[in-house]
Amino acid sequence: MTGLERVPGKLVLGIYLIFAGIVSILNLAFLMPFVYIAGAVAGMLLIQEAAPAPGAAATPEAVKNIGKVRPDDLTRIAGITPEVSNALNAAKIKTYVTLGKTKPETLKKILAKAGAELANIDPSGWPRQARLADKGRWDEMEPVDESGQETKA
Amino acid sequence: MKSVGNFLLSVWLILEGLSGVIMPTDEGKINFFFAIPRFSLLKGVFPYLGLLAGAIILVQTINDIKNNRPMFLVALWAIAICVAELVGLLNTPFVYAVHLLGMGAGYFLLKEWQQAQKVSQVVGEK
Repeated sequence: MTGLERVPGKLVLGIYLIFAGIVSILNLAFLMPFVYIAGAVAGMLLIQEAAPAPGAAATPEAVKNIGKVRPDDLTRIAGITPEVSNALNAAKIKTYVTLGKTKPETLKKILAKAGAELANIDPSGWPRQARLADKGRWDEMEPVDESGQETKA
Repeated sequence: MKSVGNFLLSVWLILEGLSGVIMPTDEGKINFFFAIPRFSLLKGVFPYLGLLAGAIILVQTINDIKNNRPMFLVALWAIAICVAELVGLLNTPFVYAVHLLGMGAGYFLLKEWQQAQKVSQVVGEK
Protein backbone atom coordinates (compact mmCIF):
# COMPACT_ATOMS: atom_id res chain seq x y z
CA MET A 1 0.00 0.00 0.00
CA THR A 2 1.66 3.19 -1.17
CA GLY A 3 -1.15 5.62 -0.55
CA LEU A 4 -1.21 6.30 -4.27
CA GLU A 5 -4.37 4.26 -4.59
CA ARG A 6 -6.23 7.02 -2.71
CA VAL A 7 -5.50 9.54 -5.43
CA PRO A 8 -8.39 9.76 -7.91
CA GLY A 9 -7.40 8.80 -11.45
CA LYS A 10 -9.51 11.57 -12.94
CA LEU A 11 -7.68 14.15 -10.81
CA VAL A 12 -4.32 12.95 -12.11
CA LEU A 13 -5.73 12.83 -15.64
CA GLY A 14 -6.80 16.46 -15.24
CA ILE A 15 -3.37 17.48 -13.95
CA TYR A 16 -1.74 15.54 -16.79
CA LEU A 17 -3.84 17.27 -19.44
CA ILE A 18 -3.08 20.74 -18.10
CA PHE A 19 0.61 19.91 -17.60
CA ALA A 20 0.90 18.40 -21.10
CA GLY A 21 -0.82 21.41 -22.61
CA ILE A 22 1.51 23.90 -20.93
CA VAL A 23 4.65 21.89 -21.72
CA SER A 24 3.66 21.44 -25.37
CA ILE A 25 2.50 25.00 -26.00
CA LEU A 26 5.57 26.50 -24.34
CA ASN A 27 7.74 23.87 -26.05
CA LEU A 28 9.42 22.81 -22.81
CA ALA A 29 10.92 19.64 -24.27
CA PHE A 30 12.98 18.85 -21.19
CA LEU A 31 9.75 18.33 -19.23
CA MET A 32 8.25 15.89 -21.75
CA PRO A 33 9.42 12.72 -19.95
CA PHE A 34 7.49 13.90 -16.89
CA VAL A 35 4.43 14.49 -19.03
CA TYR A 36 4.65 10.90 -20.26
CA ILE A 37 5.07 9.64 -16.71
CA ALA A 38 2.04 11.68 -15.55
CA GLY A 39 -0.02 10.19 -18.38
CA ALA A 40 1.03 6.66 -17.51
CA VAL A 41 0.25 7.24 -13.82
CA ALA A 42 -3.18 8.64 -14.72
CA GLY A 43 -3.88 5.57 -16.84
CA MET A 44 -2.78 3.21 -14.09
CA LEU A 45 -4.90 4.97 -11.49
CA LEU A 46 -7.95 4.92 -13.76
CA ILE A 47 -7.55 1.18 -14.22
CA GLN A 48 -6.93 0.72 -10.50
CA GLU A 49 -10.17 2.56 -9.68
CA ALA A 50 -12.07 -0.06 -11.61
CA ALA A 51 -10.51 -2.85 -9.61
CA PRO A 52 -12.48 -4.21 -6.66
CA ALA A 53 -11.43 -3.39 -3.10
CA PRO A 54 -9.15 -5.95 -1.44
CA GLY A 55 -11.23 -8.95 -0.44
CA ALA A 56 -14.15 -7.96 -2.61
CA ALA A 57 -15.25 -10.05 -5.55
CA ALA A 58 -14.38 -8.72 -8.98
CA THR A 59 -17.67 -7.64 -10.46
CA PRO A 60 -18.45 -6.26 -13.89
CA GLU A 61 -20.23 -3.45 -12.01
CA ALA A 62 -16.95 -2.33 -10.46
CA VAL A 63 -15.33 -2.20 -13.88
CA LYS A 64 -18.29 -0.25 -15.25
CA ASN A 65 -17.75 2.52 -12.73
CA ILE A 66 -14.43 3.57 -14.20
CA GLY A 67 -14.57 7.23 -15.16
CA LYS A 68 -18.32 7.28 -14.68
CA VAL A 69 -20.24 10.03 -12.92
CA ARG A 70 -21.45 8.66 -9.60
CA PRO A 71 -25.04 9.16 -8.49
CA ASP A 72 -25.51 12.11 -6.16
CA ASP A 73 -26.80 11.79 -2.62
CA LEU A 74 -30.31 13.14 -3.16
CA THR A 75 -31.10 12.89 0.55
CA ARG A 76 -29.00 16.03 1.00
CA ILE A 77 -32.03 17.89 -0.31
CA ALA A 78 -34.68 18.92 2.20
CA GLY A 79 -37.68 16.63 2.04
CA ILE A 80 -35.98 13.76 0.25
CA THR A 81 -35.87 10.73 2.51
CA PRO A 82 -33.99 7.55 1.60
CA GLU A 83 -37.31 6.04 0.45
CA VAL A 84 -37.96 9.02 -1.80
CA SER A 85 -34.39 8.85 -3.07
CA ASN A 86 -34.88 5.18 -3.97
CA ALA A 87 -38.08 6.02 -5.82
CA LEU A 88 -36.31 8.79 -7.75
CA ASN A 89 -33.38 6.54 -8.55
CA ALA A 90 -35.78 3.91 -9.85
CA ALA A 91 -37.12 6.60 -12.19
CA LYS A 92 -33.56 7.25 -13.44
CA ILE A 93 -33.23 10.46 -11.43
CA LYS A 94 -29.87 9.90 -9.80
CA THR A 95 -28.07 13.23 -10.01
CA TYR A 96 -28.71 16.81 -8.96
CA VAL A 97 -28.58 17.84 -12.61
CA THR A 98 -31.33 15.44 -13.61
CA LEU A 99 -33.46 16.33 -10.60
CA GLY A 100 -32.91 20.02 -11.32
CA LYS A 101 -34.33 19.55 -14.80
CA THR A 102 -37.34 17.49 -13.72
CA LYS A 103 -40.68 19.26 -13.40
CA PRO A 104 -42.49 19.06 -10.06
CA GLU A 105 -45.50 17.52 -11.82
CA THR A 106 -43.32 14.70 -13.07
CA LEU A 107 -41.88 14.22 -9.60
CA LYS A 108 -45.43 14.07 -8.20
CA LYS A 109 -46.27 11.30 -10.66
CA ILE A 110 -43.12 9.36 -9.74
CA LEU A 111 -43.95 9.62 -6.03
CA ALA A 112 -47.57 8.61 -6.61
CA LYS A 113 -46.38 5.61 -8.58
CA ALA A 114 -43.94 4.66 -5.80
CA GLY A 115 -46.69 4.22 -3.25
CA ALA A 116 -49.40 5.87 -1.22
CA GLU A 117 -46.96 6.87 1.54
CA LEU A 118 -44.99 9.08 -0.79
CA ALA A 119 -47.91 10.38 -2.82
CA ASN A 120 -48.65 13.29 -0.47
CA ILE A 121 -45.11 14.68 -0.41
CA ASP A 122 -44.68 18.07 -2.05
CA PRO A 123 -41.66 17.98 -4.39
CA SER A 124 -42.09 21.51 -5.78
CA GLY A 125 -38.90 22.86 -4.19
CA TRP A 126 -36.63 19.95 -5.10
CA PRO A 127 -35.60 21.01 -8.62
CA ARG A 128 -34.43 24.42 -7.35
CA GLN A 129 -32.64 22.81 -4.40
CA ALA A 130 -31.02 20.31 -6.76
CA ARG A 131 -29.77 23.09 -9.02
CA LEU A 132 -28.21 24.80 -5.99
CA ALA A 133 -26.65 21.51 -4.88
CA ASP A 134 -25.27 20.95 -8.37
CA LYS A 135 -23.55 24.33 -8.19
CA GLY A 136 -22.24 23.57 -4.70
CA ARG A 137 -24.23 26.42 -3.18
CA TRP A 138 -24.99 24.46 -0.03
CA ASP A 139 -25.28 27.56 2.16
CA GLU A 140 -28.32 28.75 0.22
CA MET A 141 -30.16 25.45 0.53
CA GLU A 142 -32.88 24.61 2.99
CA PRO A 143 -31.43 22.70 5.94
CA VAL A 144 -32.41 19.06 6.51
CA ASP A 145 -32.74 17.16 9.75
CA GLU A 146 -31.57 13.59 10.40
CA SER A 147 -34.64 12.05 8.74
CA GLY A 148 -34.18 14.05 5.58
CA GLN A 149 -37.18 16.24 6.34
CA GLU A 150 -37.10 19.98 5.92
CA THR A 151 -36.15 21.73 9.15
CA LYS A 152 -38.70 24.27 10.24
CA ALA A 153 -37.30 27.25 12.08
CA MET B 1 -19.53 -2.09 -23.07
CA LYS B 2 -19.62 1.10 -21.00
CA SER B 3 -16.24 0.37 -19.41
CA VAL B 4 -14.48 -0.40 -22.67
CA GLY B 5 -13.84 3.21 -23.65
CA ASN B 6 -12.36 4.15 -20.29
CA PHE B 7 -10.31 0.98 -20.17
CA LEU B 8 -8.88 1.62 -23.64
CA LEU B 9 -8.17 5.23 -22.68
CA SER B 10 -6.25 4.03 -19.62
CA VAL B 11 -4.28 1.50 -21.65
CA TRP B 12 -3.53 4.10 -24.31
CA LEU B 13 -2.31 6.61 -21.70
CA ILE B 14 -0.08 3.98 -20.10
CA LEU B 15 1.38 2.88 -23.43
CA GLU B 16 1.94 6.45 -24.60
CA GLY B 17 3.52 7.27 -21.26
CA LEU B 18 5.78 4.24 -21.38
CA SER B 19 6.70 4.94 -24.97
CA GLY B 20 7.80 8.41 -23.96
CA VAL B 21 10.20 7.20 -21.30
CA ILE B 22 11.48 3.90 -22.65
CA MET B 23 11.61 4.55 -26.38
CA PRO B 24 13.88 6.76 -28.38
CA THR B 25 12.16 9.62 -30.19
CA ASP B 26 12.06 9.77 -33.97
CA GLU B 27 15.29 11.73 -33.83
CA GLY B 28 16.70 9.15 -31.44
CA LYS B 29 17.52 11.87 -28.93
CA ILE B 30 15.64 11.07 -25.77
CA ASN B 31 16.46 7.80 -24.09
CA PHE B 32 15.17 8.83 -20.72
CA PHE B 33 15.63 5.52 -18.95
CA PHE B 34 16.54 3.00 -21.60
CA ALA B 35 15.50 2.17 -25.12
CA ILE B 36 13.69 -0.91 -26.34
CA PRO B 37 13.89 -0.69 -30.13
CA ARG B 38 11.35 -3.43 -30.85
CA PHE B 39 8.82 -1.66 -28.68
CA SER B 40 8.85 1.16 -31.19
CA LEU B 41 7.16 -1.14 -33.71
CA LEU B 42 4.07 -0.97 -31.53
CA LYS B 43 4.04 2.80 -31.54
CA GLY B 44 2.15 2.93 -34.82
CA VAL B 45 -0.81 1.27 -33.13
CA PHE B 46 -1.12 3.78 -30.28
CA PRO B 47 -2.98 6.53 -32.18
CA TYR B 48 -5.57 4.01 -33.34
CA LEU B 49 -6.01 2.82 -29.78
CA GLY B 50 -6.49 6.40 -28.55
CA LEU B 51 -8.85 7.11 -31.42
CA LEU B 52 -10.94 4.06 -30.61
CA ALA B 53 -11.02 4.93 -26.91
CA GLY B 54 -11.99 8.53 -27.66
CA ALA B 55 -14.71 7.47 -30.10
CA ILE B 56 -16.26 5.02 -27.64
CA ILE B 57 -16.24 7.55 -24.77
CA LEU B 58 -17.67 10.19 -27.09
CA VAL B 59 -20.58 7.95 -28.03
CA GLN B 60 -21.16 7.13 -24.35
CA THR B 61 -21.16 10.73 -23.18
CA ILE B 62 -22.72 12.65 -26.05
CA ASN B 63 -26.28 12.02 -24.88
CA ASP B 64 -25.63 13.50 -21.44
CA ILE B 65 -22.88 16.05 -21.92
CA LYS B 66 -23.93 18.14 -18.93
CA ASN B 67 -23.33 15.21 -16.58
CA ASN B 68 -20.21 13.95 -18.34
CA ARG B 69 -18.61 17.14 -19.59
CA PRO B 70 -15.04 16.36 -18.46
CA MET B 71 -14.98 12.92 -20.06
CA PHE B 72 -16.70 14.29 -23.18
CA LEU B 73 -13.87 16.81 -23.56
CA VAL B 74 -11.28 14.12 -22.81
CA ALA B 75 -12.81 12.06 -25.63
CA LEU B 76 -12.64 15.01 -28.04
CA TRP B 77 -9.06 15.68 -27.01
CA ALA B 78 -8.04 12.04 -27.46
CA ILE B 79 -9.61 11.91 -30.92
CA ALA B 80 -8.08 15.22 -31.99
CA ILE B 81 -4.57 14.43 -30.77
CA CYS B 82 -4.63 10.99 -32.39
CA VAL B 83 -5.94 12.38 -35.68
CA ALA B 84 -3.20 15.01 -35.56
CA GLU B 85 -0.62 12.28 -35.09
CA LEU B 86 -2.05 10.09 -37.84
CA VAL B 87 -2.31 12.81 -40.48
CA GLY B 88 0.95 14.48 -39.51
CA LEU B 89 -0.39 17.65 -37.97
CA LEU B 90 1.92 17.56 -34.97
CA ASN B 91 3.91 20.77 -34.50
CA THR B 92 1.21 22.82 -36.22
CA PRO B 93 -1.17 25.43 -34.80
CA PHE B 94 -3.89 22.79 -34.84
CA VAL B 95 -2.08 20.92 -32.11
CA TYR B 96 -1.99 24.04 -29.94
CA ALA B 97 -5.77 24.19 -30.21
CA VAL B 98 -5.93 20.51 -29.27
CA HIS B 99 -3.75 21.15 -26.24
CA LEU B 100 -6.01 24.01 -25.21
CA LEU B 101 -8.94 21.60 -25.49
CA GLY B 102 -7.03 19.11 -23.33
CA MET B 103 -6.34 21.81 -20.78
CA GLY B 104 -10.05 22.66 -20.75
CA ALA B 105 -10.84 19.00 -20.12
CA GLY B 106 -8.23 18.97 -17.36
CA TYR B 107 -9.77 22.04 -15.79
CA PHE B 108 -13.21 20.43 -15.71
CA LEU B 109 -11.76 17.20 -14.28
CA LEU B 110 -10.14 19.19 -11.46
CA LYS B 111 -13.36 21.14 -10.93
CA GLU B 112 -15.34 17.89 -10.75
CA TRP B 113 -12.90 16.53 -8.18
CA GLN B 114 -13.12 19.76 -6.17
CA GLN B 115 -16.93 19.54 -6.27
CA ALA B 116 -16.80 15.91 -5.08
CA GLN B 117 -14.51 16.96 -2.22
CA LYS B 118 -16.93 19.72 -1.24
CA VAL B 119 -19.89 17.34 -1.25
CA SER B 120 -18.03 14.71 0.78
CA GLN B 121 -17.11 17.40 3.30
CA VAL B 122 -20.73 18.47 3.65
CA VAL B 123 -21.87 14.86 3.97
CA GLY B 124 -19.17 14.28 6.56
CA GLU B 125 -20.37 17.25 8.56
CA LYS B 126 -23.95 15.98 8.54
